[in-house]
Amino acid sequence: MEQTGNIQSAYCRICGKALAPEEQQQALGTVYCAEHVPASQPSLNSPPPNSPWTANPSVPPPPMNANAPGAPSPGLAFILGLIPGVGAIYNAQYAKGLIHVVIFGLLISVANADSVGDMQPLFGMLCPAWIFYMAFEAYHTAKNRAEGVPVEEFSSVIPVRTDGPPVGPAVMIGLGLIFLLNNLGLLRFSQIFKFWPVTLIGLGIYLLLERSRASRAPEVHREQ
Amino acid sequence: MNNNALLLRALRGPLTLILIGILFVIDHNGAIAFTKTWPIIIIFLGVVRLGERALAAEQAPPPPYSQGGAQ
Amino acid sequence: MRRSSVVGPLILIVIGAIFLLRNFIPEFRVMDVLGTYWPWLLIGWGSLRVVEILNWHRNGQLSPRGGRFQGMTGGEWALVIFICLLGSGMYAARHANLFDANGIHLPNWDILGERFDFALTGAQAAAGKAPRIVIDNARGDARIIGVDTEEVRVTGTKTIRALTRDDANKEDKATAFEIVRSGDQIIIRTNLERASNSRQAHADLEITVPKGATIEGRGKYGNYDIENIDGAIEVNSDNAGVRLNNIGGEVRIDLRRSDMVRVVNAKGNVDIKGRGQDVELENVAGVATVSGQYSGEMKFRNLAKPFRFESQNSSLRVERIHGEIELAHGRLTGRRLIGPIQITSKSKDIELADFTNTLEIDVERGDIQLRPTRLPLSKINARTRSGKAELILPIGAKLDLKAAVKKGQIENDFGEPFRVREDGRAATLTGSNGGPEVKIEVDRGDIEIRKWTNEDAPAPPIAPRSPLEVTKQ
Repeated sequence: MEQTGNIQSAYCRICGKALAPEEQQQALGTVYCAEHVPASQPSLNSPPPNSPWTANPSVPPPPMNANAPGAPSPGLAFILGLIPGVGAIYNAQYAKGLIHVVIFGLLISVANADSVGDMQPLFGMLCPAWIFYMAFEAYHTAKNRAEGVPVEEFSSVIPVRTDGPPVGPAVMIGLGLIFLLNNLGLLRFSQIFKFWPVTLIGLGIYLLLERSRASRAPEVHREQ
Repeated sequence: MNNNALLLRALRGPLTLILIGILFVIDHNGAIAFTKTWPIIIIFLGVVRLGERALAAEQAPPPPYSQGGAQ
Repeated sequence: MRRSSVVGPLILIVIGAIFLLRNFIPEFRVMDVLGTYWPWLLIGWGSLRVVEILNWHRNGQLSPRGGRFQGMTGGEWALVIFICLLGSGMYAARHANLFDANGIHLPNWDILGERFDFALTGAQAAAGKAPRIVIDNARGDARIIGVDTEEVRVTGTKTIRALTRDDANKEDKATAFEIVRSGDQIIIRTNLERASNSRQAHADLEITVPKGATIEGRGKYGNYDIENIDGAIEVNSDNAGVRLNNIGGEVRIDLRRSDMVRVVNAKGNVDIKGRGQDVELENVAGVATVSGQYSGEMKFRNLAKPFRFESQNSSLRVERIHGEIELAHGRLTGRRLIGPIQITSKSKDIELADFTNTLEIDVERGDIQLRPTRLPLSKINARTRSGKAELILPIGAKLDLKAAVKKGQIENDFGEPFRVREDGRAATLTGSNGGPEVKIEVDRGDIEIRKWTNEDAPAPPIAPRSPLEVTKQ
């Protein structure tokens, strides 16, 4: 999905090579590099084994016109996405649908629990926010599917970058550590919370780094 | 993407599955509840992603901006 | 080229094997085993997939597909999540207390804050020989023992959930424990309602009281365990398990919800009402009444006086229960009963053995099996609208039998002097060799009358224990 610039938006289906837009060869609704693009395919449908446990037997869908019948409708996806889990199921992302339901349930449980006490309004607000997130995510995923862009099981509106500092993994490890230390009683949230201004500082530094890197290769951004 | 990174990427799922299983075994044996140990899963995923990036970087794909510059 | 995993079929085989085992080894408790060992299923599954992927990698068969890589598929993850939820549920149901005093669903679900304990010690009050004691504890268990003393002594632990110890201390002070004397009443109050967030605190109490006391327990949530009291007991709670042993006075229990009510060795009347799961009454010398909705198993043993049970579905009246009556899983079994006995139900299978004096059964749906063992027989009037009726008579039985089926068959294995007469789809079996009237009516179903065989022999009669023989434990 969205990445920094449109430089590498897809991978070759056969060899996995990262492809710039001009290198991408479209065929059968997915992307190949020049080497591996299939000349012709006798039959589209190798019979997929019908079990949910097999490594994904998906058949490459023909490039879908958003107006063609049977194409995923982003509008319908949005509406269905308002119901927890259904949006993802509409987009054939079953695990994600189940996770959506679980998170929704957890949010309501926590919002309802007395243990949260004063923070009930926070979790209460998170519920409608989550509902809209599910709806919009279903909408965007359906739109991508309609345009033939391959979509992962856990696709999300949050972009994933493969260059520069590893923000994603770092954030995950950091958050995980914080929660773990709190749960084990070693370092409580309240103690860590005192350091919240560090996030502002960190964000500032990060943005600075971004700008300085961008300034090293200015032509790209001007050639949009 | 080179082979090792690909392998790690494919292994990510099953390894996480094993981790979840281990966390539940620890829970059921009364040591530490799953509701406390779950952040390990997130940490693990982060570490694996770092690993994927490290392995992918070994093959040194062409730096992104030079492609754009070659236009 | 895409390869399909071998794990799927393997899982099917494993599940099949587990249930096959269950069918052949009755002692193999599938739910227990599954509930404890299900995480190993996940571990095994993951390991197999790892081995498989390594294998594919070695054979060069791994390849990316657009955005997806041949790791776990979406469907697999959905199944994993489902197994986790289901497995945790089974584990919690079997091993842990689903609902503890804080109303949380899983143990250790401490999202915010932790639990702080405060000991309650040295609280006591002089009480005399037969005080009236009221226990007002909103949340928490109470264990009360009657001893040879003239004072009330309370110990216990109060548990408060808070973010810091200071907060917990504040709550502790706000919910100060007190013993108050008011006239001839002693009130033990835990004041948990005064906590800023009443769900965060619960108090477990251990109270020793004079044997002659009368106890009244009031609460929202928490078990009552009372022993060796000569006075009366009254328990009123929104959700409580009640266990009483060796009570001299009247017992009155009113619960909105409970997992178990158990009264053993009671000299007075026992009255239980409300909703719950299991009920057990044993050795009750007074009149016992149970009314309400109970979803578990009910056992009534050795009740010396008339017993009455009323629920939405059924009603039961027995003069004395020397043996026992058990109501479980839609069936009522009774053994060694003294009538008059009256059973009415919308839907229950009835099985009675060794009963005397009149018996009246009326069920809309259910099988009836009657095995009187003592002679002379008693007057019986049994009716089921839909089900099978079986009457197993001892040799030498004398009765005036009138059995009729509206749609079904009658089988007469007893022989003379009864005769079957068929009339289209209906049938009757009549005959008399002296003796009281035995009437069996079935609308849709069969009737079978036969003689006792050795297979029917009931368990050897136990010498009736006098309910007044109270065993001190």
